[in-house]
Amino acid sequence: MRVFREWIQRLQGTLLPGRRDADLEQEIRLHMEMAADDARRRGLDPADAQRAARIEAGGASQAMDALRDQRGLPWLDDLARDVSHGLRTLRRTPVFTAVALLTLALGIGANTAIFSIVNGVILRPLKYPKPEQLMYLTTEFPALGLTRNALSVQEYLEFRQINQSFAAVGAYRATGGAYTTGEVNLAAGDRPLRVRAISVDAHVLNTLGVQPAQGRFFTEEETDRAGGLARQRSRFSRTSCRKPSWEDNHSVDKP
Amino acid sequence: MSNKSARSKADVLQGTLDLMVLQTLDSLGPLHGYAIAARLEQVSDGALQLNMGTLYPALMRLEQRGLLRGNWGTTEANRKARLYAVTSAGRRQLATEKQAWDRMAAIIHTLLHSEA
Repeated sequence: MRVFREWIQRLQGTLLPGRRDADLEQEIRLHMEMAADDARRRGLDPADAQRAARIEAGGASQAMDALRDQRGLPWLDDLARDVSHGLRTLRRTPVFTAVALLTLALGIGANTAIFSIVNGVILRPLKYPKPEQLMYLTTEFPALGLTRNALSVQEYLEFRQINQSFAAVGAYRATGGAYTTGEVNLAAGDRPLRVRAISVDAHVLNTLGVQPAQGRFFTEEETDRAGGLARQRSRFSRTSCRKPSWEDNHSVDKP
Repeated sequence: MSNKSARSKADVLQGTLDLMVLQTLDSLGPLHGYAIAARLEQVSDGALQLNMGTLYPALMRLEQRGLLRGNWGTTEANRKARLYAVTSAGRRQLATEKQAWDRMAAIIHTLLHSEA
């Protein structure tokens, strides 16, 4: 507790020195004078007495240094001096300062931007059960130099039949399809909502393990019977569902 | 920067120096720095010669901890001086430190001089 108090006092001593240098110097000077008086009383002549006092009491400037260190927090003083020196130097060279600041700003900005992307896309896992097992299937046409092509409906159906590697496989159609542009108006309820939409078959919903907020999803039999994506989408928009997206996880729970 | 030798000497003495200063002021009443140094030199038969770089930072430290209070006044020789007095917290601290010192001294004494 006492030591804590000392540090508070020293912090105060750094910010607003209670005892000025002059005050400390006077105390040191008086000490030297009294030491010299004592030496004179022992029979030394004034010059010798002063020397004796200096030897006995130690150097005044060293004592002052030690006192200044004890009065405040020397490292804080040094830090403040370094900072103000740095600022003065920067003010003298405005071009360098501008370039340095710009570099820093760009560096920090770019870093933040990259991190938010990496964090969202790579580091933060998808909010589905066992996200590490989710795979995105594409086709390749090496002869044409095409990679990551979407599967056709026929390819997908065939893959489903021969699949032995995956527990479940589903298909979806995001944009550019005949029935959706990726966004639709959800007009039921108090006010219309613009929501992201995607055409899916029942297998996708099973694979991702999502549950509808209300009502029910269409079943696999219904998918097979309908045969086309149009009917799936219309059913989908009638039963509102929890939105399966990692970018925006709020649920569309307006009926 | 600070004087290294004054510092290391203060480190060696710190524990006992605080105790000696508090005891001196408690028994003799308010004194200035030189009088404290003179008294310690006298009781130690000249073995303890405190230099200013050790004594005054120690006084300042004790003051910062609230164990001493220093004020400018005049000595009997009608000289201006900064006089230090023990506060009540200082007296309490002195009592605890004295006890701890006695205990430790007894232990060391037993250890060094026991026959068995």
